[in-house]
Amino acid sequence: MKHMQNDENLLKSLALQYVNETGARYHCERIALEQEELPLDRLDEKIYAALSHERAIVKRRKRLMVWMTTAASLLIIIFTASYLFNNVSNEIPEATQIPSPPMMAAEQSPLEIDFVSLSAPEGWQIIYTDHDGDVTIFHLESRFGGTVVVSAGLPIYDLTGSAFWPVFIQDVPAYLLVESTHSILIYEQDGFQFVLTTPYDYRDLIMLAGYWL
Amino acid sequence: MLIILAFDLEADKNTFEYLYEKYKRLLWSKAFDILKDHALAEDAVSEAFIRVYRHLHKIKDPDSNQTIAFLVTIVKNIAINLYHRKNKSLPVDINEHDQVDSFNLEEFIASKEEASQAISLIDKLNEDLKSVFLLKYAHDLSHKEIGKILNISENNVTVRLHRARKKLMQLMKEV
Repeated sequence: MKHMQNDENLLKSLALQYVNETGARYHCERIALEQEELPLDRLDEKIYAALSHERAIVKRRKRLMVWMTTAASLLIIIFTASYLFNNVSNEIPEATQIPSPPMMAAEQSPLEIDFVSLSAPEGWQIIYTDHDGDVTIFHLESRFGGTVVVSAGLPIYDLTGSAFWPVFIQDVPAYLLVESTHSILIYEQDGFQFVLTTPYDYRDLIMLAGYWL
Repeated sequence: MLIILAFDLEADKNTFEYLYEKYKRLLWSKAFDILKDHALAEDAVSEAFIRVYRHLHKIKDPDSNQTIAFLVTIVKNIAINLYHRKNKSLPVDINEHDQVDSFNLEEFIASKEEASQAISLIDKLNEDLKSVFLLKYAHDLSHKEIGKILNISENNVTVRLHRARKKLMQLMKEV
C-alpha cells in the first residue's frame, strides 16, 4: 500500500514538473506568436457560434429539468392524494357511503327534538326512551335495520358495551352511540343539522360531521 | 467582444475572454502543427474553448503554467482526433510531432536536469496516454471530468491511465 502511494506521489511530482516546464515553454511560444500574422479571421465567428449553441443546449437542459421536476412533483401529489383518498375511503364503513347523504337529508323530515320528547323521522322509529338523571336517551331503529341512540343533557356513557363519542355541532351537544348498525341518520333541530352515523373511530365521525355540515 | 449572453457571472465572462484573447494564437498554432489546415485548426481551437467553457471552474490562475499546459493538452487532443477523422488510414505520430516542436527544449531547460528527465520520460508516452496522465496528475481532474474533456468514457480513462502509469514506471526503472 505504502509502495503504491509512493508511486502515485512520484507520478504526481513528475506530472507537475512536466506541466511547469512545458507551461513555461508554451508561454515563451505564445509571446513569440504575438508578433506573427496568423490567419484567425473566422475564429471569433466560430467561437461565437459554438458558445451560442452551447448556451442554447444548456438552456434547453435547464428547461427540461424544470419540466421534469414539475412533472415529478405533480405525480407525487397525485399519488399521495390518491393514496390518502383510498385509505380514508377504506376506513369509512361501506354503509356510510350509501345512500347519498344530501339525498338522505332531503328525504328525512326534520326530527323534532326539544330534549324532552322525540318523534322519529320517516323511516325511523323510537324503540324506547331511557331517563337517567338529566340525561334522556332515545333509541332509534332505522329502516335499514340498524339502531342509533341519541341522548341529550349530560355526557353519554357506555350503556351497551359499545363506545360513545360526544359530538358538538355548532355548540349544540349531541351524542352518538356506535353499535353494529349500518346506517346514517340526518336530522335538523332549530336550524342545525345533525349527522348521526356509525363511525369506526372518532376521526371518521369528525370527518363526516365536517363534510356534511 | 465575445458573447456576453453565454455567461451567468461577470467574473466567468471576464476569465473566459481573457483566456481566449491570450491563448487563442498559441492554441491555433498547436492545432495547426498537427492538422496543417487553417480551418480545421480553427475548429479545434473553437472546440477546445467550448470544453474550457464547460470546465472554467477548474482554472484557478489564467496566467499559470498549469493553465497554459491544460489548454494545450486539450487542443492537442482535439486536433489529433480531428486528424484521425480526416486521415483515417494515416495515423499521426504524435511523439514525432512533440519532438520536432519548433521550440528548442534542450536549450531552454539545459540547466534543469531533473525537469528535463521528467519531460523526456513523459514525452515518450503517446498523446492519448499523456493527456489522460497530465489531466489526472498535474491538473487533479477526476476520471469523469477527464472523460468529458477528452470526449471518452470513464472506462477508457481508467484504461489509458493504467497504461500510462505502467509505461512510465517501466521507463523510470530503465533510467
